[in-house]
Amino acid sequence: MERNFLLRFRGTVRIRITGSFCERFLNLCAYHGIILWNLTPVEDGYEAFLSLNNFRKIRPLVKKSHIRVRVIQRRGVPFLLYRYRKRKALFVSVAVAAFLILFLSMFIWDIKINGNLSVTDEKIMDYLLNEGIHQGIWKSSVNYKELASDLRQHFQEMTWVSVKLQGTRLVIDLQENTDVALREEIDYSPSSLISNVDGTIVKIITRAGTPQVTEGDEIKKGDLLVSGRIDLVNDSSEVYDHQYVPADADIYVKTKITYREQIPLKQKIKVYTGKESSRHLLRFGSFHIGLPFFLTSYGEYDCIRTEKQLRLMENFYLPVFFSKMTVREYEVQEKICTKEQAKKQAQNNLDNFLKKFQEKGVQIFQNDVKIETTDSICIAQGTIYLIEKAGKRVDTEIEEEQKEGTPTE
Amino acid sequence: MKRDNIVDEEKMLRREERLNLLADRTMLPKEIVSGCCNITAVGQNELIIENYKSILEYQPEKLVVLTKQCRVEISGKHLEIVYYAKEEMKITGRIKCINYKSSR
Repeated sequence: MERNFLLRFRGTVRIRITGSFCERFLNLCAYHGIILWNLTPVEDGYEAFLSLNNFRKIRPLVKKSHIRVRVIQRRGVPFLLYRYRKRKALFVSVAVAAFLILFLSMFIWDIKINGNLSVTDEKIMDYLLNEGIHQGIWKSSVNYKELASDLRQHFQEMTWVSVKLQGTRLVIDLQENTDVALREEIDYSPSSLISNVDGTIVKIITRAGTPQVTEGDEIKKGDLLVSGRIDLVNDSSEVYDHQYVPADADIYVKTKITYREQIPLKQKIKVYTGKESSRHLLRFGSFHIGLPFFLTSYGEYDCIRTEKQLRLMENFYLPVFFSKMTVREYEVQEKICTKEQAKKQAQNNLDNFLKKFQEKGVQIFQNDVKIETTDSICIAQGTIYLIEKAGKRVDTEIEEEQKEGTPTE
Repeated sequence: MKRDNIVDEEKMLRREERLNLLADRTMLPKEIVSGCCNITAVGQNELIIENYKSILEYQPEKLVVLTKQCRVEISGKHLEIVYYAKEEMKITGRIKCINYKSSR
């Protein structure tokens, strides 16, 4: 109770009571709800603490009980303020600090993106930058609801986006639909499919539209595969009208890519010597403060920089960065590997290359890559045939003139 | 005179018994019904007194508190009132004796 922080804040007073009816004063205080604490008897009276508020109320009680009251100690903020009242700079700096914190809290200092898997942070950041959202803009200049719906529209993969503000940090929570089968079918306007690859058609299954190619046809990038226009034919096989639909088809195309990789047997590799030096920097926006390098005599070196943003609380980021620059010296050494090692490496690289295609759902039809080694170099080259799904959606041109025969009002 | 005192004490005792009974029957706390004081002693150096009227005397060796029914004399060494409010006070120090004395 007596160690209350609030009481300290409002100020407390220790008083010495002297006179013949001290006990009466104590009882009057208790009766009027004035709490005394650390009450100790001294040779000619008592000493006790009471709050500054209560101290202002005891005057009538003092008169009533004919005692003398002397203040022997003052504690708390009100007395502190009074004592330092002439130090104007102190008060000004406190006010400036409070104002700065308030002012800086009106900006967005950090953007955090949660839940993205296939869309990278950089992609989203680039989009945000285009929209004019970056570090250091006013909080009030962002329309969060609009931004969320814009993001959802721009990135088809996102099924749910929430944009909120936590302190000075803009938090974008999102969920992506990574399962292709579950992806929502969007209602397209009348459209056609054109090729996005060069190759040979292996299989074509048309669900909507008029196919323009058949199996075995050679196609080039930009060729029309399935037209969104369906000709309506009458009994005498004359075209009397057209119907426009969004074309839909599964088109499998055999494509050819050439693969070539060289691995020299003599390789240059970095070996760190273990010598390194680092320095700390303070960055405000684009302004750096820090000690200069005690310039090292490193021949070749890597420079690694880590940055940490200063924050007041969990979500109150400030535009101040601590960065650490580390310089590590390395030497370039030549390594000569055996033919077997080089061959193995080439094979590994090729496997990884093919694996990436398979992950995308592309079938590998034929693989003619051969690995050859000479005295100085290992070359892997050849052609890989892939079977992949092709088709790119474009709007169909609707020919208005063709509708001459239709009745008009 | 002495006889009067004995009669008084018997009267007091009977009155207290009646109040105790009343408190039991009505399920009310005894200190509210009879106005008796409530003293909680923790070890030998902490004492909380509730439901008193006033302080009669206070010295480092002796503290006399007036309650509705009796006077409570606390004697000890370095007695200090940690806080003194209308309803409750806390005393610390080396407590030797708690003595109840008839207020008459």
